[in-house]
Amino acid sequence: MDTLSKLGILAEAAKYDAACTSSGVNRAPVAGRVGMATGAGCCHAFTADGRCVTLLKVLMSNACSYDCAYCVNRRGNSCPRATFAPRELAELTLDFYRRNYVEGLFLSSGVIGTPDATTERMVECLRVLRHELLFDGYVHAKVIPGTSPELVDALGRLADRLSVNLELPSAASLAALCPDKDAAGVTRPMGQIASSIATGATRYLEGSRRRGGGALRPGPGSTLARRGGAEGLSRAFSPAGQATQIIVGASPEDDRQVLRLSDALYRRFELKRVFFSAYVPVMDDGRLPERDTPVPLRREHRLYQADWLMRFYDFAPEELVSPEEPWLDLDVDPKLAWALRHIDLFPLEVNEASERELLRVPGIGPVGARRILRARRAHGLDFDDLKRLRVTLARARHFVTCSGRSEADAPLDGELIRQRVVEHAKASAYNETRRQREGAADYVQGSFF
Amino acid sequence: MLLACEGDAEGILSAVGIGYLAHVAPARVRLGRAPVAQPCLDETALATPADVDLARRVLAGYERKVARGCPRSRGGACPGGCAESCGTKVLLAAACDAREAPEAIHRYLRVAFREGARVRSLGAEPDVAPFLALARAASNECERMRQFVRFSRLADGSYLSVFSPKADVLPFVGAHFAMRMGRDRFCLVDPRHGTAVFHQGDQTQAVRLDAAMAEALASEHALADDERYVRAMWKRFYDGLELAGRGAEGRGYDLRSQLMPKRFWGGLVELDPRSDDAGGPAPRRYAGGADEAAETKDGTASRGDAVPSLRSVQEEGG
Repeated sequence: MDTLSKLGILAEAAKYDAACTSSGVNRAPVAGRVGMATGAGCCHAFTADGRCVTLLKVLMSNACSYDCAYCVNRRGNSCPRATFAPRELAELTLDFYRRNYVEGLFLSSGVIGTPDATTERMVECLRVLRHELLFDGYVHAKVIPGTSPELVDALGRLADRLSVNLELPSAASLAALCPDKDAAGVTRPMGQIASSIATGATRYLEGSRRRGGGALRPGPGSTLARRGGAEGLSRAFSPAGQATQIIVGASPEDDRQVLRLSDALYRRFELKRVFFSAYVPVMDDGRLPERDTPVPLRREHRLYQADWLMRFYDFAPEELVSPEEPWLDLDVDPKLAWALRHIDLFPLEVNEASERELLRVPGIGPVGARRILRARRAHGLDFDDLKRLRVTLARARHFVTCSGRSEADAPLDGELIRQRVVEHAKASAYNETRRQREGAADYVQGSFF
Repeated sequence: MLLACEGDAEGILSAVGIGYLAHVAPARVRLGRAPVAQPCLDETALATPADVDLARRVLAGYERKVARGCPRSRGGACPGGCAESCGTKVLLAAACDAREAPEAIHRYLRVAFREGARVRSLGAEPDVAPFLALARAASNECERMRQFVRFSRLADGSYLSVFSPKADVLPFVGAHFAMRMGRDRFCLVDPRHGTAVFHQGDQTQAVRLDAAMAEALASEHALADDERYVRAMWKRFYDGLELAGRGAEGRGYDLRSQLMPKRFWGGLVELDPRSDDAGGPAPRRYAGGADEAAETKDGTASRGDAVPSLRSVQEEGG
């Protein structure tokens, strides 16, 4: 089978994995090598449904020995199978990179026999890419639960980011849907990766102190970056950190469980990202929801919004969901829902509020808050100023005052605000189409246990 | 008074400098892009030729004035949170094709010379906000270039891309591609603005092109033997990522067109139906056959003992 045919099979097999970013590491170019990495990453294309394509995201093989109920590559499914040779995939990555199609490689795989045999093959691919083809672009590698620590270490020395998929939000669901995996097998490599990253950071700091330097991280173009890290160190272990993915909607856990879990993962393993993937029903299995009950994309979207609030707006999961209301509101975004529940804290005076307070206002994000803080140094701001600062006033105007004045047609009335937002959203083409597709009834979480 | 200037950075900054040196009250001067700018009924029009030395003096003076006390001048971060230096922001704004760009830059520079470093806090001012919007638009266009430029490998082994951004930002992104490509030779052409970036070895150069040269560079070139096959692979990969029911029809609006503006689609290999044609047999390195033992004949997955060891794969691969 030629590479074109394999690619068709193995890209298709990898598409259900939501995680695909090329951010988190700056690496300056080195003479004689190809490529670099930038902290912000870059999306080179977008799929028809709007997902960013930044890496060549493929499976090394979809000939999987495992039998996860929801997975299109499961052992029991009859579908075309293919496997890349390590060098073949490495050369493909470089060909795509040189044409500016991708920032690098996202390497995952079905389990070819055993986790170790699969990971050996992945390590070989990355070794060819890094050491023979001299590629310095971005590499994200997936760690298969159950892989030996030595191989996880080898993978982490070649990749920029590692991820171990948690797959499902509870150990019970994992046991029910993934008979070949267990929770300990997933969290063990996560712990190893976190520990290796921390050890690398400590060694870097010690090396930096010995040199008398104060920089914690080499920026692009710095001498340190060109030398590839701290004195005496080989390539840093997974310099862009680690991530994970949780499938939502294939099992009965509510949003509160999902958000508390992701919060715990951020704290315990210092994850860079938790990705949520709305379950796509592709398999018939008695343990799964019916095939005609897809998880609304809006649930995935709300979870990402909540995750964003936790990471960049200093929200705790308990502020967004509670035992009494364990599901995120699908009608309004989590920040607006929080503001409507705490309407007594508003309106906020734009010319006096702290940055933390401004960040709690629907419609004001970190960039807007910084612009307000900077601009009000010159003079007091009014609503026209906020417009010129490109603050999203459609939401914010209900919740703020400028020098004690509110906007005339924007009263602080929770019911009215919700009604306006919901009506505005209902009128949108997106919701119109979703309603037609999902029927008139509101979404009901599938129950199968 | 209308000062009709050339639309590039040199032209605009020269006109600002001439207006300042002539001691004309700022409120009585307006900059317009020659030759399209039209004087109002009571205005006198004056053509101002670009003067590179004067433009440099204006930019250096502006940077000195605005950078006073800025941590950036001591290697720190901009207190305004800007990624670019203030000078770069002026050059970015000048790269915009917008008709109002010269006057917006002129108004902003007048405020900046008057207020000095304080201008960084004046983002909401009517004379500052339009300038910042222009700089942001050009910066976004730079990002579009970094995203959507597609190189083709030519028969001589070099890489070529033709790209037409809405602003004259090619000189800003040339260094980015030079860093990506290492020692690979490439040429990036913007026929719309008549600019090109050439890179060979460790030398990168942005040049202005005349119309004939721009047309010649942007025309068809002989491709490398494997180019069509690589394009076909990229399209196959891209097509394989689509999730059914989540596209424009299922969503109700076309999210892809918002993120990937249609004006770029003509140059995107993945959206070009011609890319489906691989143009012949696979190049040797992509012909396959070395490592297919993991596939079983009935299409089901094999167990570990059917998978070749890493060593045997390496031996087979030579």
